[in-house]
Amino acid sequence: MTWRLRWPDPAELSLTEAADAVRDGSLSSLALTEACLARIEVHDPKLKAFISIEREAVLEAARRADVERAAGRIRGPLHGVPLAHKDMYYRKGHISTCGSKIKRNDVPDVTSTVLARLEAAGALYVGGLNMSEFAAGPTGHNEHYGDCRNPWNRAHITGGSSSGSGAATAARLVYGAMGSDTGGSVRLPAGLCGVVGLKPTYGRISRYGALPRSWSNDTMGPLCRTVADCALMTQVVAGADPNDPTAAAVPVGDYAAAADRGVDGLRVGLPKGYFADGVADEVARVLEEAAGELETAGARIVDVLVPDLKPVYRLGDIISKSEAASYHGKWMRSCPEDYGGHTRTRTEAGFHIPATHYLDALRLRGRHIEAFLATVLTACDVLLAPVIPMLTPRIDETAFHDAGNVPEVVTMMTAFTRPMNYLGLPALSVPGGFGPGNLPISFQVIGRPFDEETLFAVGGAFQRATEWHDAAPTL
Amino acid sequence: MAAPVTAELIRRQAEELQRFRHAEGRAEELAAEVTALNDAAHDAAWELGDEDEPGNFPRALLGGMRKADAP
Repeated sequence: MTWRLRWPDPAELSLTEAADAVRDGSLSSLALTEACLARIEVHDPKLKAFISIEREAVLEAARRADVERAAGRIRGPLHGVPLAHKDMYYRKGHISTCGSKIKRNDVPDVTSTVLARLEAAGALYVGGLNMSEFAAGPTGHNEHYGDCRNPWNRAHITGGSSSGSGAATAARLVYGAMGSDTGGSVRLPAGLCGVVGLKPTYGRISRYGALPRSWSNDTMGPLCRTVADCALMTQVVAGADPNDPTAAAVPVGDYAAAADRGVDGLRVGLPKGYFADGVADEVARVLEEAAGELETAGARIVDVLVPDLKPVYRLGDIISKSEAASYHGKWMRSCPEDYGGHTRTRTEAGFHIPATHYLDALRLRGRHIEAFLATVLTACDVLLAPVIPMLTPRIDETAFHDAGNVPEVVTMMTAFTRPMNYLGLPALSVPGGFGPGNLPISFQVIGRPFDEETLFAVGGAFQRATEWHDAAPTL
Repeated sequence: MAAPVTAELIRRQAEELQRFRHAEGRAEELAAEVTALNDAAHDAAWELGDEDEPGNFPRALLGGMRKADAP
């Protein structure tokens, strides 16, 4: 088979290829798992992508998956494929640290819906991935478990808060990973590590059994190496859930088919104003080149004036900080010294926002969504936007020194991602090129509510026309 | 625009309403951030009308879905 020649190491297969290989018997689940574990052993000490590795348990699960397959039983579309996830998806009876000292020994009594659905689809669990403490920072720093490092250039950040999910997937340590996105926490590490990441519509994927940062803004999303992989994982985890009343009963589309369907006639918006002003030249170039590829693939590129979204950003920030302060209040009162500086300073302001202002931010939300849909997403079917306005910062220039000196670059990092959390809209981060320092530059595809299918169609068309997603970091 | 939130207010609110103490010097740093966030809410709240309620968020998402006959 051609992929054997292209990828002699099974760990370099895409998730879709790995799942196909197990299903058709050309590779065993054990071979995939051993390949991933071998890479983890060699490379993770340099990257700090993992918080925990369940080596023996996953090897045993892989052997079991192979026995089942030999007996003709395929559990589902991810049968025998090793994955790992941000260490905030609860598993009954197993520690989920949430990247924190406070939950270092916390054993949940529930299993998250996302992990239950992945397991039912046959996926294996390799371990818990590094993350910003309590999913609270956009850089990937972690004072308790070590700063996660970008596989493309270890002096640079991965982005956060799903730092390990981005790094492990890009470094071919696993085939894909779940992260979570409250203000950009899937799209930032996906974008900076050069993999595909989906921030779904609010309500598309159940939040049950996952650590909350902000109940009203939290979304759960996959990070994978290709759009087709991301579509496959989304297919498995999406849909209504009686345990999460905010998980909407909107039918789940055929995402794999959507990733293949093309963009003929689709109106793709290229932003003017917000998402364009103040953007680094290299980032703007990647966005324009992506638009060019999509135009060649049949899309119609239209310029779209995007209004100033700073007020939307601030309203989202008010909700996030208020809800985070509520969640963390008991620990911030009883053991504030157990928090890292990034997390504490990103939460404290929430204690000083009146409930009336929090409610005003919630009340304004419907109005802002309708306005964005009536203007921006009426002028186009999907909007392209950078993931971050600048080039990927270094770890040292974004480190926390003292609360009054949080670098401006850290604040700027979520300028293009947080607005979509307040608006609840889906956005797909897709790698679109490289910049200085051999670091990936990515773009977002933003769409209408519950229209993840069109995002996958755009991302799929782009990846069929380009090879950025095939590039692997030299570790 | 109202006067900025002061460090003294942050300190007193933390201790009297929230029952914790900020680290030394932190109230001064928080005052500017809290002023900006609360100003943003104040400025935006003028738009609010009788019909605006938190439940409009899921309604707007469902109402904004792509129509079946769209491209």
